[in-house]
Amino acid sequence: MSAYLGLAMSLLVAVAGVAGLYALHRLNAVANNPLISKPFASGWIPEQHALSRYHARYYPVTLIFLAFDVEMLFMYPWAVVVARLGASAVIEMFVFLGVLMAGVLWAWREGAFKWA
Amino acid sequence: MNGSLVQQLPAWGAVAALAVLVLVALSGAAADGLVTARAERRRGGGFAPVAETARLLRQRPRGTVAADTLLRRVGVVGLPVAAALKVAVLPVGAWVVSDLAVGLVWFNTMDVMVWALVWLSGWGPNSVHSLVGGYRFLALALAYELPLMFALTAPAVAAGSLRMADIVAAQDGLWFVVWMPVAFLVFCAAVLAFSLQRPFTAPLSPDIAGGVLAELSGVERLLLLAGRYLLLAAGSGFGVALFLGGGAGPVLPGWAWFLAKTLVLFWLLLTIRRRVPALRPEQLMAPAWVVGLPLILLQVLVVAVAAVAGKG
Amino acid sequence: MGLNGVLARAAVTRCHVFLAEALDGAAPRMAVERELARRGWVEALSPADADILCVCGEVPGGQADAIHRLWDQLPGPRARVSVEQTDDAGARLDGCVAELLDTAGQRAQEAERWVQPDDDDSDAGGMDHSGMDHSQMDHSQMDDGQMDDGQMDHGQMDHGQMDMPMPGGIPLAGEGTDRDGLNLDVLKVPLGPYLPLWPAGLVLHCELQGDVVFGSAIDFPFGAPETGPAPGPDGRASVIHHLDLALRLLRLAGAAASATRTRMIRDSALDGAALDQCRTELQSELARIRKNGLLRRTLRGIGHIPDGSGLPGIEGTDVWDRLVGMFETAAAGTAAATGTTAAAHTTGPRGAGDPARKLPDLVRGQELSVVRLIVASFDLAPAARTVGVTG
Repeated sequence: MSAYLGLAMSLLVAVAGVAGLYALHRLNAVANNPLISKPFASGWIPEQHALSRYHARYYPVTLIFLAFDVEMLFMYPWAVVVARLGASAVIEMFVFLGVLMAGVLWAWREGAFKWA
Repeated sequence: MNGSLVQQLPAWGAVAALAVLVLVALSGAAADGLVTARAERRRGGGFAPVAETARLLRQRPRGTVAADTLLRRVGVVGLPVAAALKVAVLPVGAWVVSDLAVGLVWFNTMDVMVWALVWLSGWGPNSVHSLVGGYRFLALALAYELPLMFALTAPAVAAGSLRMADIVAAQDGLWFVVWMPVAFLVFCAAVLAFSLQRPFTAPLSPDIAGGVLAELSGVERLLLLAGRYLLLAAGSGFGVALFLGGGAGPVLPGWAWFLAKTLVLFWLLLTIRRRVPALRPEQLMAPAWVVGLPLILLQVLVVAVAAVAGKG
Repeated sequence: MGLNGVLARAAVTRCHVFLAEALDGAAPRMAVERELARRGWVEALSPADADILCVCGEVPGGQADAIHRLWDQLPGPRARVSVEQTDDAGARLDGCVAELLDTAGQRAQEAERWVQPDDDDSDAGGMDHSGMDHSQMDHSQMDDGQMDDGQMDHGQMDHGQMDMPMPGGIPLAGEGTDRDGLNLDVLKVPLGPYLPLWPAGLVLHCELQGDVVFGSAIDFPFGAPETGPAPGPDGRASVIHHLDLALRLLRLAGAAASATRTRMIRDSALDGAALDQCRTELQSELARIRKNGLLRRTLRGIGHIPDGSGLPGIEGTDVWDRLVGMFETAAAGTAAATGTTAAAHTTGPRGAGDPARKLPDLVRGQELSVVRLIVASFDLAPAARTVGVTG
């Protein structure tokens, strides 16, 4: 319980520190109200809003990442008990990881990690 | 094991931890200023972080047309806060702010938060340069995050615990860096990456007018710049706790050893990042997945086998 | 003086300066850069980061709109200066310091502005605008016929063409088809004229999908620069020019340490150091760069110019080769001035091939950072001069 108290305190202190900086900024800035500017576009007026459906070309990588990321859910509990469970736990986990890694190699051969 | 290995500090511990973190980060920024000045053959330079802070505190806040101000603010405020929350679970010698049973996972969580925070800082300003910068960070993160996660697993397997204090204690005889060199190197690279230091500066690169930084001014810019140093300092601290024996050392008390090791690792990382050029995310992707990931998996395998053998 | 005065004093020890380089502004820009390095000041990468807007070279009255817009984007405290002569850079920047320290004056200035004004005069920017809307219209009508998937965004977007929701006076992104036939948002982003580490006077009108430039058009809206490296065997000018090109490329590649050393060699050449000494230094820097495997990996294979593309001298080269070439040409320049035979040959015979014309082809389908590296790998000063001359 007190561990979470410490975390909450840390959050509080950090946020308070940031708030203090904001206050200091408010006191010392040459003006307090934000200047509403056009975004920088090499001296032009932007022709349209930048916020748009962005073409993230690494999209295939995100899927592979997701597979491994879900695997991490098992990895942390496994790390705690592997020494107790012995060789079978190691073999099972690394067979699983091996399968995932085979998927990565296949994706690599398909050019998923290359773009542009 | 229980939490008796370290003493949990009372409420003021969080203040002290944050103060130390800021001082360590400041030392790095000042050292960087000095080295930059030396490279340009001018005197001084150590004053640079102070001057920069003064300059930004005086600068008018600035927003952009139809910007997502809330998200931008969440992003820039979040970076230093994430760094502070990381060090909360970090045992400094015999003390810790929060002796969380899953401290290592907490570190990982904060680290993944950085994905969102940097991206939000880039999305918020409604500017092409920032936006491209934000998405570049996601591409970098896809490359470095998995190797980092596995690098974190290796000490956990060896210690049989996710509690930071247990991991430090498990290095009593032998520092983990000795038999987990790959995990240590991968961890250090990932620390540079999540604190947006070279070679992982593509999101802030000059080719997109500073990227995520392009539209930030005043205190928000200060928070993001400081956040990078704070994250690097926090990452160095974890490097010491996970791989370099924490506060272990002769004569001096634990906290002194811990701080000394942290400063050395911190400055070392700062030096490395000065010497390498920036990498484009797409250059990093294939090596990270096809070379880095198998290597770190092998490392975890070695550690797991050793842990099982040691037990049996 | 209170805290504010202390902060102001500390702040002006490290001013950030946004450099807007006019067509013939290379010499004043280099003078300003040298002055910034001497003071430990910083080159701002965007107006949001800048305290000082420094216009290098002369901007004719009709071309000052962009400068005005940039000036409006500085958050303040801010100062503006124009450096036309190489020898008064220091004095002009000192004047800015006094302006920045005047907190009361800055506060008064800031109190008067809140929103960056729109420019409603029908300049070139405005014309592009309407032209663009047109093409969007066509696109969206086509899409309407083709797909009826009832996407929310989609519906809004099409709507936008009719009654124009323009938050902040700026329209939403239009759509276009990418190389795989996917329908994606397109951003029209001009690169230049006033972009850090960008060739003066060049504008590359890019169409971006994500961070990929899938189409671009090149323009020298202000005409061609008059100076550039002298065509004669002026060794020193050639050394300075080519080191300047190299250091821009190095900075864009993120090789800050190399860029700093290269800049110091350039500055010592500017200061009139013996060219023999420059040669030694730049050759040792080149040796260091050749050994830098990561940098080589970053620059190898991008911006490759195929044989038979009408660019004699740089056919078959990539950005890495051209970076090395810049150092070698600079080294040749040092030899030329000391009386040896190698004349300061720039990249290829002038006018015979124009890399600027090839840029849209070279950057198509490239990621933005690669585009920047490709542009920086060319010596566009002679190319810009021959605009209008067929190659």
